[in-house]
Amino acid sequence: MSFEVFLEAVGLVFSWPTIFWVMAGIVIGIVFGALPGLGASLGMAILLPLTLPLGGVDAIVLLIGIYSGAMYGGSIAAILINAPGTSAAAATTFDGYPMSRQGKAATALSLSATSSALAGFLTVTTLILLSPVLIDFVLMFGSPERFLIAILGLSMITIVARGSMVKGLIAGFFGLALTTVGSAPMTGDVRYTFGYFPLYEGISFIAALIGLFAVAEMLKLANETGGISKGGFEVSGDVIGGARTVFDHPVTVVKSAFIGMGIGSIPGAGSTVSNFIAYTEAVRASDDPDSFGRGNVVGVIASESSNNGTVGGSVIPAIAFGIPGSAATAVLIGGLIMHGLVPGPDLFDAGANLDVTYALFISLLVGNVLILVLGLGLVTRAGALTKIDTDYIIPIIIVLSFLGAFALNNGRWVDVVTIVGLGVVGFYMKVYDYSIIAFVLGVVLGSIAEENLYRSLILSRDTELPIFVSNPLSLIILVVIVAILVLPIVQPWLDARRE
Amino acid sequence: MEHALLLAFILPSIYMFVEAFEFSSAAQQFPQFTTGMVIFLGVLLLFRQYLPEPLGRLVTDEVDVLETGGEEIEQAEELAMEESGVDRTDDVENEQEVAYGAAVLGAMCIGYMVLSFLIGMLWATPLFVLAYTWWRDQSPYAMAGLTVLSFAIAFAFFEVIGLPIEEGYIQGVLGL
Repeated sequence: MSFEVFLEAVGLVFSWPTIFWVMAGIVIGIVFGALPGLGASLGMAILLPLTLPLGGVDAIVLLIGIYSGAMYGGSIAAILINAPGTSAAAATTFDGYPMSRQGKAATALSLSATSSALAGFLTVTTLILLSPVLIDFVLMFGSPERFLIAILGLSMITIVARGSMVKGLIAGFFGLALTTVGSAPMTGDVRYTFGYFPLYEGISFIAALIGLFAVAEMLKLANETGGISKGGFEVSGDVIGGARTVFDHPVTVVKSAFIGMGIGSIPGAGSTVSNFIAYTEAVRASDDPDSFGRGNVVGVIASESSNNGTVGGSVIPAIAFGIPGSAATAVLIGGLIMHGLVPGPDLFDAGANLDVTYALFISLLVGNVLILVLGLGLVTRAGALTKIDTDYIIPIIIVLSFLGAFALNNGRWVDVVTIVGLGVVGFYMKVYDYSIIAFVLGVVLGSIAEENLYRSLILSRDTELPIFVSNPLSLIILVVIVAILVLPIVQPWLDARRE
Repeated sequence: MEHALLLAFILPSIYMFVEAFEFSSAAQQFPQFTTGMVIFLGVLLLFRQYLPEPLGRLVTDEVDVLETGGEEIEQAEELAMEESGVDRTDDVENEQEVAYGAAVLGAMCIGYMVLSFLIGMLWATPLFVLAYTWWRDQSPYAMAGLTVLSFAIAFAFFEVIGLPIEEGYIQGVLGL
C-alpha cells in the first residue's frame, strides 16, 4: 500500500507545475542562503504567505526546496568572503575561505556543492527507506505521548539554548504563553482578547515567525552599508577536481551526513550545531589535524555534508509530531498547517496524506540533484550574489513581510502588529543573547502541548495509574525528559569531578 | 536595555497570570503555568546580582551541553575575520550604532504600519521604501527603482491574491 502511494508521489513531483516549484524553491533557497544575514528560515517565512494560492503539495515542495537550497547557498559567501550566508555554514569558513585565498575558490565551491548534494541524497534516501518503520512508530503515539513529546521538544531548550539556560527558558515559556491568546482548545474559553473579535483565533504563529526571522533580522542588518562583500575576489580553481575529491573521502561524507541527520532530528538543535560537531569530528579523526583552518578540503566536506544532512533529520519530528527540528522546519510546519495538512498520523496514513510526505522526500532528492547541477554549473558566477547592497534588500524584505503578514488571514491587522512587535522583541533578544529558537519552540508547541494535555487528563479519569506512566512508551519519554532537564544542572559538577 | 526586555516579558505575564483566574479551571492551568514560569525566571534574572552565589551562578552561567566547542570555534572565526579584513553581518561590533540603525528602521516600520492603516498598504508601501532609501542616501536611480519594485509587489498582492490594501481608514471615513 505504501509503495503504491510512493509511486503516486513520484508521479506527483514530476508533474507540472510541481516540478517547477521544486526547481524554483532550490534557486530561491540558494539566493537567500548566499546573502549573508538572510538564510532559509527568513526566506521561507516571507514567502510562506505567497504560497496561499498554491496547492498543498506545490507549497510544501517550494518551501522544502528553499530550505535545502539555502543550506548549500550559505557556503558561497562563507567560501568567497568569509561571511557565512547562514549560521549553518559557519564551519565552512574555517577551510573554505583559506582555500579562496590560495586561489582555489572554485574548487572549494565545487567541494561544497558535491558534498551538499551527496549528503542530502544519502540522508533522504535513508529517510525514505526507514519511512515504513517511521509510520508504525508515529501511529503508536496517543494524546499522552504527543503531550510528552511536545514537552520533550520544549525541554530541549535547556540543551540547544547556548548561553544562559534561564534566558532560554524565559524565551520558551513566553512563546508558550503567547499561544494561550484566543479561544482555548477544547473548553472554548476566550482568553486575553479584550473583546476584539479578530483575536479570537489567537496570534498567528506564522506572523510570529515572520516577525522573529524577517523583521528582527532586518533591524539587525539596518546598520550595514553597501554590499556585504567589501573586498574583491577571484573565483578560480578546479571545478571537476573538486567534485572528484569528495568521492575520495566517502567516510567523511557519510559520517558527517549522518551526524547532521541525527542532530537535525533533535528539536531545536538544527544545522548550526551539527555543522560544528561534524567539523570537530573531522579534525579529531584526521591524521593531520594541524592542517585544518588552513584550507583542508576535508573541513569543507565535513561542514557541508552535515548541514545538508540536517534537512532530512529535522523533517522527521516536524511532520511526525509538529515539533520543529530547526527554525526552518518551524516555518515548514506553518506551511503544512496553512494548507490544511496537520503534522502527525495523517501525514503517515496511506488513506490520508502519506502522498504529501513522500512527495516532500522525493522533492528533496530531486532538489539535491539540482544543487549539484547548479552548484557546479554556476560556480564562477556565484560571487555576484554576495555583492548585492543590503540597502536594496532591507526595504524589500520589510515590504514582503508586511504584505505577507496582512495576507495570512486576508487582512487582519493583528498579524501586522505581531510582526512589528515581535520583530522588535526578537531584535533585542538577539542583542542580549536570548534564544530565538527556544521562543519559536514555545510558539509552535504551545497549542499542541495544551490540547494534548487536556485530552490526556480526560483520558486519565478512566485509568488507575497516572496517564503519563501507564504505558512503557510514555514512561520512556518521561525518563528522557527528566534526564534532559537535570543534565545542564549536574553537568558543571560532573565536569569538575572529571578535572 | 536588557531590563526593559525582561520587563516586556514579565509585565504582560503578570497581567495574563491574574486574568487567568477569570477562566474555567481547565482553561486557566496552562496560561498560569507558563506565565508563572516567565515571572519566576524573569525576576530571578532581573535581580541576579543580589542572589546567593550558587543560585546566581545557575541563573547566569552559560551552558553548552552538546559540547560544540563554541568558544574555540568563535575564536577561530575571529582570527580568520581579522586576517581577511572582511566585515561580518552577524557581528554586533558597535552596539550603539546598531541600536541607532535599528531604532530608525523600527520607527519607520511603525510609521509604515500606521500609514497603511490610514491610507492603505498599497499606497503606504512605496512611501515607506522612498523614505528608507532617502534616509540611506541612495542614488535617485536606486530610489526610483526600489520604489517602483515595491509598488509592483504590493500591486501583485492586491491583484493576484485579492488582498484588500487599496484603501485605509481615511478613505473609509471620507467615503472615497
